[in-house]
Order: sequence, then structure tokens, then C-alpha cells
Amino acid sequence: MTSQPWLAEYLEQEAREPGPSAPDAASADAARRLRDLLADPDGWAEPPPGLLDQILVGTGRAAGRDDRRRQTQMRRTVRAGAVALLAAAAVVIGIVVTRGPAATDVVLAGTRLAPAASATARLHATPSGLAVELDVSGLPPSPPGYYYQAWMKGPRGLVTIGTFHMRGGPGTVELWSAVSLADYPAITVTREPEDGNPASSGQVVLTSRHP
Amino acid sequence: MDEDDLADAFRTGSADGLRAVYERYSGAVFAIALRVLGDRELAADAVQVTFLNAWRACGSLEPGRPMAPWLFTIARRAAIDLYRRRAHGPEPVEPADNATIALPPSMECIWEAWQIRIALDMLPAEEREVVRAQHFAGLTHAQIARQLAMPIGTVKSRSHRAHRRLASMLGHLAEVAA
Repeated sequence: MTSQPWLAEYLEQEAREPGPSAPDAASADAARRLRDLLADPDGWAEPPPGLLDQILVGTGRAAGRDDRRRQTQMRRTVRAGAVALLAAAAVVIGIVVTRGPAATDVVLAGTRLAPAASATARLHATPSGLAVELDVSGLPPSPPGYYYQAWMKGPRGLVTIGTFHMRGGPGTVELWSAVSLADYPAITVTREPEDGNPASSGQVVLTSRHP
Repeated sequence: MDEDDLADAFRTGSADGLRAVYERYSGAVFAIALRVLGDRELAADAVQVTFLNAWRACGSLEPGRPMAPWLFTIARRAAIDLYRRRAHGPEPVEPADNATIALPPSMECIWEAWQIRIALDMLPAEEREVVRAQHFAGLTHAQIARQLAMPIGTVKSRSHRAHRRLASMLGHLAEVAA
């Protein structure tokens, strides 16, 4: 890699004016741009803590899905084979169906709209979808004219997984999702007005992401 | 862990390999996502998507091929996809303001930001601290010495070494631009 003493000197200068040490004006412009980028807050920003754990959860879910895809492929192959192999495949299918995947816990923290709130979402796959048990504490009952709505969020957008009000006090809310945590890795809860608008209000009170 | 070992570990698809690559590159991925999206929450989404997509595609990382440009391509695509989805997506967070529609940064800008962040992350911690204080916080050597409670000579020597390293790692950007 090329060593550029003039560039080191230029970048180290405390003054913001272009230095005389650049070999030409174009190099000075490039060096100035580099120094501006070194001062850009975005360039120093760190990803939120806990993100790696969510990614590792996502890889676990994806690996489970790949396993199931491979098992499905295997079943198709076996069906095309002998009766004896069909029987063996049925045993495999039985094991897969009855074993079921393990539950996954996702921790949600309150936002500035509900700083005292927290929740844990326990997700487990069922044949008809993803069952979500949301154990909520510190979230006040929704005021008249408002309710809470839970969402799963991913690159493709938002999918609602249910609504609730917490007017009976803290407890567990049962929600259902048709999408997976691998594809929609974030879970949020918003406060919604009863205005007939199905879109999110954007007023997030609980989120699985670190603010 | 050098780049080849890092790529070998990642190619296995193991959690340890993913963790090592995340520790090396998550800052750079987050930095360019933030540059494209201008929103920390969306940038965090882009980081998740990037590493999940990279993990799924780890078998396509050929032995001997450098990992950083490969990961950059995945990260840039993830950020641009999110940028487009936000522009046309279903989630109205704030009323649209047609007068403030902006294009994402150019490929060259994103690539420069990526290279700079990787160079910063490769500095020894004590040198990175000085560079951060000087460029990010805008402090002089004397102010840094006071803030970090160290002799100004130490600040100057660390700053000098750090900027020599940065110039060595980033010099090609100045050459290309020139």
C-alpha cells in the first residue's frame, strides 16, 4: 500500500484550510474530502448493542427453515420410491411434526412514550402460524379512543400480529403471526387511535430494538 | 485473526465465524447504512439484513477473494433496498414532504465512507481515541491531552502514528480522486 507522508501531514493538521503540502489542487481536494469524512458523525456511529444477538437468532430460525425445506425435499423423493421407503419417510415426518421447534424469547423495551414499560415475547411455531405470548409490564392501559397494536417488522415492511388494551392490568397478551422472525426480525407495539386507519401511527411504545 | 482466517471461519456458516465478521465489519456496515438512510433505526435494520444475507450466501465467498468488497456489495444493496422501500413502503411515520425528496449518496461516496470506517476500526484503540477526539470532537492536541489526562507529547506521537497509518490505508482514495 502506498505511503503518503503529505496526506498524513494534511489529515493531521488542526486547521481546516487546505494545506500547502498536497502535490496538486486535485489531491488537496481529495484530502479535504477525506478530512471532512473523518469529522462526519455518521462515520463514527456504532450499531446498537444487542444487534448481533438478534442476527444470531435470525440465523437460527433460517437454519431451521432450511432443515425443514430439506426434509420436505427428502419426503418428495421418498414418495417416488418404494413402499418400504414411504413407510420410513412417514416415520421421519412424524418425528418432525411432533417434535416442534423450541420457543424463542424476544425482549422489548419501552420507548420515550412509555419509558416504564417492558415486555418479553415468547414465540413458538405452530402448524397454523407463529404463536406469540407477549408478557407485558409497566404499560399503562390504553386511554379511551386508543388501543395498542403489535407488529413484526422487516425489510418487506410491517405485519400486524394483533391489538390489545391492557385495561385489566399487567399480564400476558396472546398474539398470532403469519410471518417468521427470520424475515421480520423486529417486534414493536404502537399506540393507535380508533380512527379506522389500518396503517401504523408510528407512535412506538415498545420495541425489540435498542433505541 | 487475519482476513483469510476470518473468511475461512465465516465460510463455515458457524456462529463464531459470523460473530468475528460482525465484530470486524459491523461498524462499517452501520456507517454506510446511516449515510444512505439517515436514520439509526433503519440503519440497524440494514445491518441485520446485511449479515443475514451474507450468512446465507457465505458459500459464495470464494477462497482467496477479499471479504471487505464482497460484504460492501451486500451492505450497500441492503441499505439501498431499504431506502427504496421507505420511499414506497407501507409505513407512514411522518407526512410525506415532496419538497425534501433526496437521492441516496453515490456509489463512490458510500465506498469512501466504507473504506474510511474500516481504516479507523483497524487503528490501535489508543490511536483511534486520539483521532476521534481530533476529527470528531474537533479538539486540539492540547485539549486532547487535558481530556485524556496524558502528556501532550504522547498525544502528538499517537496522532502522528495514527495519521501515518490512515494515509497509508487511504492514500489510494486521494490518488483515484486526483
